[in-house]
Amino acid sequence: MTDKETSSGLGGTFGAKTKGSQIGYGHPHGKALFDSAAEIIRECPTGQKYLKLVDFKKVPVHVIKGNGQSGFSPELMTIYMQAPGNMTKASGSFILYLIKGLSEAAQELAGFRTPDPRKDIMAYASFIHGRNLDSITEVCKVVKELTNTGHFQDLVDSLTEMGLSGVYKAYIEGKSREELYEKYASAYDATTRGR
Amino acid sequence: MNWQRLDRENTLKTIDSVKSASEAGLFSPTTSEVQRARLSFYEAIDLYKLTNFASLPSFTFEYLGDGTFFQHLDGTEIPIYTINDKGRLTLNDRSVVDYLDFFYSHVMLDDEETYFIHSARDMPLLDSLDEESVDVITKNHKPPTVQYDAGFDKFTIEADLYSDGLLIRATLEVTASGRVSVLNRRMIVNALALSPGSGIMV
Repeated sequence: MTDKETSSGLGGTFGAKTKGSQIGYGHPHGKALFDSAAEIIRECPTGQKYLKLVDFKKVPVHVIKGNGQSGFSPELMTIYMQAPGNMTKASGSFILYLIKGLSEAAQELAGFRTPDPRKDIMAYASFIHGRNLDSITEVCKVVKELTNTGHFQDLVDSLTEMGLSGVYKAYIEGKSREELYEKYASAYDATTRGR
Repeated sequence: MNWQRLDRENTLKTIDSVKSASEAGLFSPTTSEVQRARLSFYEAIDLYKLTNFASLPSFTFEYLGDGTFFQHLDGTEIPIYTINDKGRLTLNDRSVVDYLDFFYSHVMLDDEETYFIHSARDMPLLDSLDEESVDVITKNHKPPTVQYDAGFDKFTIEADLYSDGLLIRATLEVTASGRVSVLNRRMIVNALALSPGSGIMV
């Protein structure tokens, strides 16, 4: 895990033109956020498996300040986690996005390489949606494994806020991949509508 | 929000101003675009959104800026207050509501994500709730009301907030310099607890 930039993040002032180097994107509590998330994820076997990627330095995790999306970048082979600059402890959604990112990194490292979107956009889209479903299914697996812990309700609430309660419900009912995909597709449709 | 994509020249200028040397891959000019949106409560300051489409999810960063100087919106109130203190904030009975909407969408307070509900239909999590919860929220929502105190040059706003599964009616105060504080809050309805449709609330 790296925590490269720990500057104030105030960016430039109006006294001089903003230069990129003046903006510190690194999260001041990045290590604490990652550690608090990892502590919870490590409480279940699937989580332990994924955290080995970080333990053995196979994939770096950068925690940066902001409100944007978190996730795994196959191009940069890095998991980028975004969190508000004043967050000091991992939220439920931070934990879920970290599991998702780790799962995607594991798939990439296992040889399921992301195709180049410039070559075949349809193949790329199909691959990305398939990978998304796989990684969300892994997120559901971790949440289910954490059922008897004190973190469970918070994680379930976060799944709901992310629009994934339908996918989780289908997962715990043992539905087929096709049925999970239907739930995933409607959640994806709902979260992207109006953007 | 009415986003307008910047032309190539201004896109490159913006990226050059905000890029990070240590995270250069996130600010690749070839795979990124910059959009700009006007904000009713700022004079000559716009909201900028940089999106890198090279990967999914598309990583986005938002800034307040005037085209040359930028403040990265990092989830705290500091960048917003820094801009306000440059004298660019102009609040009135209408724009103060837009300001609160913007503030709550970009700032996390007390380790809690809180949504300002300008209109029940615009609530970000509405799509993830079942029909019954949506109905409860819609029926209980009241549009924000604003009072201006000329003596202290501040606004008092009665508005609904959504936080941690709860719909809350809050009295908020906004000073002329844009400082936001919550004077009081009371729960209207626990929206998620009334959500049997989710089937996973155990």
